[in-house]
Amino acid sequence: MKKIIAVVAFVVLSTTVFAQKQMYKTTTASIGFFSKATLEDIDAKNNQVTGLLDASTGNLAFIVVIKSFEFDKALMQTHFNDNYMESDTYPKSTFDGKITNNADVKYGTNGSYSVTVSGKLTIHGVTKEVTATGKADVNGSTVTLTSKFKVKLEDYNIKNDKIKNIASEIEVSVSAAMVKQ
Amino acid sequence: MLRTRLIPFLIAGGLMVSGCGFFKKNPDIENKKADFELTSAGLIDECEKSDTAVNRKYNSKVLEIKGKVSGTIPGDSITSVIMDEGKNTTITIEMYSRFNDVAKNLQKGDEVTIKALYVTYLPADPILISMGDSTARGDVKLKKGSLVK
Repeated sequence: MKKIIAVVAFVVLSTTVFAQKQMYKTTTASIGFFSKATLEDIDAKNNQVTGLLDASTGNLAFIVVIKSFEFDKALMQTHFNDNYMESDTYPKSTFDGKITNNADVKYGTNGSYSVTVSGKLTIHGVTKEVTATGKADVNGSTVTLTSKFKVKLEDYNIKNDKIKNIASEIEVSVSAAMVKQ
Repeated sequence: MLRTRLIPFLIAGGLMVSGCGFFKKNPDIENKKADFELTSAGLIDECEKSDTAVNRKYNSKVLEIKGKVSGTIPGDSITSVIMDEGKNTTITIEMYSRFNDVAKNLQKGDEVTIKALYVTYLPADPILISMGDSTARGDVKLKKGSLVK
């Protein structure tokens, strides 16, 4: 009898815990970056980014496949993967953090909310604590997170000495339309 | 003397060749011959056996994959086609924007053959699992997809 009560209690508790989670997800978020360069400005886009948001806690994660970045020029893409990001060794970048002012976002009410995001950003095998500001646009069952922030290459041990035509700091833009699961 | 006269021509030739390389655009995969022809179930099986082996084998190769559509992720300009064959790994193919309309209209269960560029296979990410994402699965990513059939 005690066993049955324990099992029922476990099921009820776990159901309650999972029910409290409000997951929003996308596998087609986009990340782009731009760098002023000597010969030609460099910009690239990646539309195969996975994003996950737990609206109940503000926990937020992004998984970025490095080889999904698409450049206009083939040689730029080769240099990016082989010389800078070493994408065979470090195939993905991740962000693991949270929306620090999550209580300000009314997920049940359509609108645009300013958000601050903090967490661990891992690029090229190096993890750093970062903070960025952005917007959360709530529209029905979709939350679109957008942000622009800067990344210093030397912070992530990305060598810029093979071809010195990339700026030491690049601007990264994120747009993730996450759908309620 | 002849050598001295040839030097400017050699330099100009070298610059032209390197310049062509520098400004060369990424190739259009639709017009390239596939390096491998395989089924979606076969590709998923290979991924589940060894992620390192499959990534080494198909790295930057053009694949022609035959399988059943399990879903689409429609976008304004780019749609992704999903195949999973009911297994614990998905294949996600980002289609060329010129295939957006046709890709958007694909239905679950449709038999298709898609040519695309292999990007990578990533097992389910521990960050997503730790957040309680019950849908986190291994994913094979391809891009520049075109519908062959």
